[in-house]
Amino acid sequence: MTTSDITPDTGAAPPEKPPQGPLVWMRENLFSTPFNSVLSVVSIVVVVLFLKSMVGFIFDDTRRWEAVATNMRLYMTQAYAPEQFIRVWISVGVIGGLAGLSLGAWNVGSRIEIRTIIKTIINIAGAVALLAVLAPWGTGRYVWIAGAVAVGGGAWALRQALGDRAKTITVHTLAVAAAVLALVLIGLYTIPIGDYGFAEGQATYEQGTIDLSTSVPWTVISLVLVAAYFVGRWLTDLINGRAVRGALSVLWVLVLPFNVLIILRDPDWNPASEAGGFDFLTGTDVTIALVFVVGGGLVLWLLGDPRLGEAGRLASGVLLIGALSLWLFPMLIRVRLLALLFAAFALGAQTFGGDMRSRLRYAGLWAGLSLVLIYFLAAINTPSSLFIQGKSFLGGLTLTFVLALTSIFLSFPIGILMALGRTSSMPIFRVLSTVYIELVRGIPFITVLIFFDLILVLFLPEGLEFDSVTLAILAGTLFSGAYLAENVRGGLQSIPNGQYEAAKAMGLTTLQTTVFIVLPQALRAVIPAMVGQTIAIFKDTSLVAIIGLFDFLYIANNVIPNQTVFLGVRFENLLFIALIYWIFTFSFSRASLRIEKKLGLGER
Amino acid sequence: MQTEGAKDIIVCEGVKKWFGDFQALKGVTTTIKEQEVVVIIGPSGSGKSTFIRTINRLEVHQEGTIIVDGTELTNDLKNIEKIRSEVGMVFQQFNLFPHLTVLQNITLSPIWVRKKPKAEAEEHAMQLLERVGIPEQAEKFPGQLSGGQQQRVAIARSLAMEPRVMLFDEPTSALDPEMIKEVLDVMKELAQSGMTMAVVTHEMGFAREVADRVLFFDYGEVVEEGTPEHFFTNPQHDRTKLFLSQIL
Repeated sequence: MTTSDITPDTGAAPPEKPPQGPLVWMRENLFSTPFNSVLSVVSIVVVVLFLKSMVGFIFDDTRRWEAVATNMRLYMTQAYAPEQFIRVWISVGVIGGLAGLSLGAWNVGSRIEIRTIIKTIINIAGAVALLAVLAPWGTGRYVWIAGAVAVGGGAWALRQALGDRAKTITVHTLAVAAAVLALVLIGLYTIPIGDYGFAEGQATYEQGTIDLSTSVPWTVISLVLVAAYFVGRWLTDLINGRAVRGALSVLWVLVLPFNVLIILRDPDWNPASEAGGFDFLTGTDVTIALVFVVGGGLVLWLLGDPRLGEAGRLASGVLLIGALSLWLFPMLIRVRLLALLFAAFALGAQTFGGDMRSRLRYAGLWAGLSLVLIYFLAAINTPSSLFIQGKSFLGGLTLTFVLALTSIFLSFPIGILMALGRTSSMPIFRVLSTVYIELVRGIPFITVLIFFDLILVLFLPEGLEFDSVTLAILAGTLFSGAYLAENVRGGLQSIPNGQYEAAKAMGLTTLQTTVFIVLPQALRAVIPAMVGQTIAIFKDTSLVAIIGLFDFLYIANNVIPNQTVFLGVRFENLLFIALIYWIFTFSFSRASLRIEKKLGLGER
Repeated sequence: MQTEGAKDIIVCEGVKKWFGDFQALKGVTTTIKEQEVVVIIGPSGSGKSTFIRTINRLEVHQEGTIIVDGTELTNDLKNIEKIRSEVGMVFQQFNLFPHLTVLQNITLSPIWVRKKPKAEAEEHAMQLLERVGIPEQAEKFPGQLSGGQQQRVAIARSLAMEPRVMLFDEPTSALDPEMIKEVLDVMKELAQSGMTMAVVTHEMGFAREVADRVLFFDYGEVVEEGTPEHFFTNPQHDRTKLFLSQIL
């Protein structure tokens, strides 16, 4: 009936390009014209000179890289109580396990040709040889050059021996990653890097391999990761993959607050303890949980009945007014926030309700969300069992991550709401969102931080206090929310008018159109811009030193150079953190490229 | 198709519409009966698309009344939502949702507007895909289909709401010539099954074969109307004659 029913002849495969040597490649790409030749030579000279001075700086005898090695623990967690350090390892292990499960459940990775691997090895060997030539290492460099040439040559010989088979033999990328991981782990136990440490203000150094207190946890975490991968594969075969992946997505959202608030902060639930304690079972939180989780879920289930119609909308309007009026009376802030959130859910009950299954799902969503929120809020309100030095129990890279990830995560809903508000046809929302966005975007982040740290206290209702980390998170959230809003607005504007018309013509409400039609497409269109914003906020967290938090940069730039042993040692530390920042931001942008490609499926 | 004594389903009375200073509709009065197939033709810019878009209020008319299935179109949101779920619409540019599969495109409204259970909605969607001849494309995304297939999905998507009336806004104008027929075939089958239809089109063959009545639009008003036979063989008005001489 249609033309597509007939399978056409796809034609012959294109002719394969004959293999070219490096000389041909150079002639075609670097020296094709006299002008190109001059450009190429000049660029190569500049690059080599830059590399030489860079390598010369890094490997200079006066560099004190032991300042970085000695302070590694400070870098990662700042002054986290050493006797409780197992908590740090557990939280890393939780993330490792979740990562392994996800790799398995999403069946990440593909098969790559063995010639690609060989090529990579040859490239790495070449780079090492080049560095060894440029480095100021005296005769020691010949060992490195010989080693690099041997490895590279071996790989090249293997490639020759395999011939055409190098294209047909394939290896799974995760197998390659596992092999690299195994090599690193073996290296931890065999390579005599030496063990650097700190004892009573003195830097200590022991020859030999890295201390077991570092290598054993990493080994365990790696094993957990690998084992979790196979569990993930097994689970997706056993139950359906979508359910497993859905559950894992929820766990990913929960893992950050769980790690920080429960594992790392260790709320002291025990009322008899010295820290003052809090009786979880007889406390107010159980009452709150009963009212909101059970009662709220029941109300939402009732409100989702399609027969209610107009009466349902009216009831949810009354609930919203009730929730707002809670701010007029003395009331726990937790209860006020939960009531507002509940009212917002109630407003959507008619829209997302329907048959029994959708109603139960909607009520269940609320019950789960509110239970988790109440649990974490109770944890925040319970004293920590840790001995806390300084403003926060977190510091270093951990703090940087907590600030960045929390701000980014929380700023998404704000950004989306503000973007919708700004494009809304309702004047109040439009004006409020525009004012907020333009105000925040016109102020430097440092100013926002200082405002939150010093001035916000004066505005807050009585009984509401925040510590510096929370304030920094709030500032980062509001700040990046404004920028995200503008990104999302760009995405909203990219949706053709026909999409709105089709949705309208099908009888969808504005809320349904936004949730099912507009946002999925708008957010997909702005992934690159949102990743850019994520990277920006990750780097911007380095400004929190202004309000007295010991983040990654502050430790490198101020703490370590002021230690008696490493007085004034700054360049090494800055180079080190620059490398770490770069590794993470580069991974973000690579990951976003992959997501973009994957989501691009089915685009018109 | 049209049966005697059928009830009026769309009643338009002096419908006027302005875009800024430009008057697009200058008082359109017409009535569409149940199971009737009305084809609207006319030169571009004559207001024919604007007219059928006022019927489900994608365009808001400023004067006159439109009554759809007994409900008058006003600014009352409840009425508009009710009418929109009774009136299906097929667009020139298909307007499928590119991020949803064909099946999801079709089941979205039945599930969320009609509050049908998912399984039931999917079963009905598959029947509709059978009816438009592409059940094997259910799991594909719109971008993977040809234009003709996309338009057939769009028709199935409208039918999924079980509408009383179907509006077609130049459904074949964006299609390659070889795909026009497959869409027209589906529309013919629909007309024969007794669906009330208002079709804006340039396909004179379709109008001649399927229409119960033809409306000729020019400069925002109905210049001439009548049966296809009358219209194509014995047009009365000069503007109709000129238009027909240009396209036939």
